[in-house]
Amino acid sequence: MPRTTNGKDTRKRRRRRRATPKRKVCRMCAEKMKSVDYKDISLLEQFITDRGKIVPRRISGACAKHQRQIALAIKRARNIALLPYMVLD
Amino acid sequence: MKMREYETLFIFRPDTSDEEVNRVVERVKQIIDERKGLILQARSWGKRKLAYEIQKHMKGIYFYVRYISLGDTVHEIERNFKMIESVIKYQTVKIADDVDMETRAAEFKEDEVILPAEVVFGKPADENSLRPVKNEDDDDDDDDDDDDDDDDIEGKDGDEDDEDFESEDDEEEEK
Repeated sequence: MPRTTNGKDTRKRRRRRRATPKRKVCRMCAEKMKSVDYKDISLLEQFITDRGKIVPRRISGACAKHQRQIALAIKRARNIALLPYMVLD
Repeated sequence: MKMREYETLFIFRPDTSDEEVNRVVERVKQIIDERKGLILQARSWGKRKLAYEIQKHMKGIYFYVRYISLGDTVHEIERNFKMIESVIKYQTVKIADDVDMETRAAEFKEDEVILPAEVVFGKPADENSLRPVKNEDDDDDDDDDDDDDDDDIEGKDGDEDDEDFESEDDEEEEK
């Protein structure tokens, strides 16, 4: 069998069967939480990385509605120094 | 007249005396009273660690006021904070629009206001899988491509076909 020399053909076999990531359920929806409070630091700190960044939706698993509320609450908490804007090593 | 419910959180310098704190709080209460507002809750959160340095201070005395008033009251309170040196930071948030003072005052419960716990920074917040975890390793896929050159030639275009060919191969091996 002649080997194909143009890289295009060799790149055909891209993905093996890739496990579909487990669908996360929005934690706020699960607990029937109506709104997110910026004073609720123990909740909000679970949605920031160890560098102080807001965890994106694809990782936090929050629904659109609650992710918006979380982001706003984190920004308010940051303003009044309850949460950091950034954490240096 | 449109009454709204607000909450104001303000921070004193950590070396502020109790008298000074009381003086400022009384001033705030007076402003709200003068303008026909109603205070639902006014309480100190005590000395807390700040998440970041404010005017070279790493700690501050937090004070929380929840009240029903007109918008210009907020303006007047914040104008005063600007002039008071011991207040280093303040933030007002609107809780609700169009509030009826009597009904709201009757249904307000002291414990509906969340008290934030002391937070330790710089360490992972939770052991849950909220931290970024890489599920898919793209590099591994590239390696696979190089190994399976022979299979590629046999197989036709399209990724979906590949899976079928894999299974066919397995059957042949069994025979």
